[in-house]
Amino acid sequence: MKNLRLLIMLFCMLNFNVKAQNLPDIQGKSLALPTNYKIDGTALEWDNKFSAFNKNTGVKYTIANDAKKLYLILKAEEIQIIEKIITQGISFIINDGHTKLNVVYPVYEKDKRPLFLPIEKRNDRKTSEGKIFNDSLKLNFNQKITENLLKLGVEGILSVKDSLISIYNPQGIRVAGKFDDNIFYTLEISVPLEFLPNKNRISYIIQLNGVPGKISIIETAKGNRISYLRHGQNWLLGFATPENYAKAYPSSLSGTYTFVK
Amino acid sequence: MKNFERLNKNEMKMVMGGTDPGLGGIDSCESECSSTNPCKEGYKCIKWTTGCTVPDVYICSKNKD
Repeated sequence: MKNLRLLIMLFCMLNFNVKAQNLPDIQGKSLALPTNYKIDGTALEWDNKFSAFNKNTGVKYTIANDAKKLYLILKAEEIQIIEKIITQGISFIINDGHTKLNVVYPVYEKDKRPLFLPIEKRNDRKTSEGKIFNDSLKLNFNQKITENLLKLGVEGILSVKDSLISIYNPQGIRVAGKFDDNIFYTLEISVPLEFLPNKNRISYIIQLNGVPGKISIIETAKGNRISYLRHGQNWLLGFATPENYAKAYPSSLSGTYTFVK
Repeated sequence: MKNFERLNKNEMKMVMGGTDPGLGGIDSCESECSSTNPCKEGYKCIKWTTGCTVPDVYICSKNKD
């Protein structure tokens, strides 16, 4: 098990070390939310700039707030990371000392299969054909997201009896994820501050969730593969490669954030 | 600019066909065994659920646990 964790960490470090981009691993400053912000799955209001790039999770992110909302935006560029987010979801866990909230997106109902997208077909947009192709992928993927990723999970809000709620919810929790021209994925979440009584400082965890059930290694004729249990069904993730191990297990980052007044 | 709606049928197939998604682009979405194509000794042809377009894939496997 120790060797496995070491292998996963090594894979993550090798994969993302070159992309540090001089950003801190964890966001260190507080930021006021721009007045023109929109929860639309784009980082246009931030000029596509982020406050941190976390090597363990492979995502860039920014946390900000205004008088009414706490806000998270994150961006994933690596195929494996995007797949992990879309098929298994992220958990944004917020603790203000009094209340612990957990917002999970996307969440799939029992009878729904996770949304699998052929992200590996994207290209680098160096040719006009490449651009056209990516534009087609982008439109198609975003349409599928709009049609399929309609639920989020919430824990820690008394008025929410069912932990699975619509993305169009009366509590005012907003989420939106979209692919951009490069087929990178951006996700935005905003949470009303009314759910966080202590509006001074929070600790937070951003977790890229692992597969939803027990993980097993299966010996097959072509080599070992990773499987997991999902709603009573045996699912196959793929060959037992470092990439697939990294996808199967959760990865997370944590920090503290002081509210901008 | 040409967009998704303007792609012809072949181009559409190129966008969505080919390598099946669901196994991270690493594994195959094709079954490796069937009633007419049995596994070698020591392996059983077992059904697995995947994220592939056809979700059930049959793989020569030793166990499920």
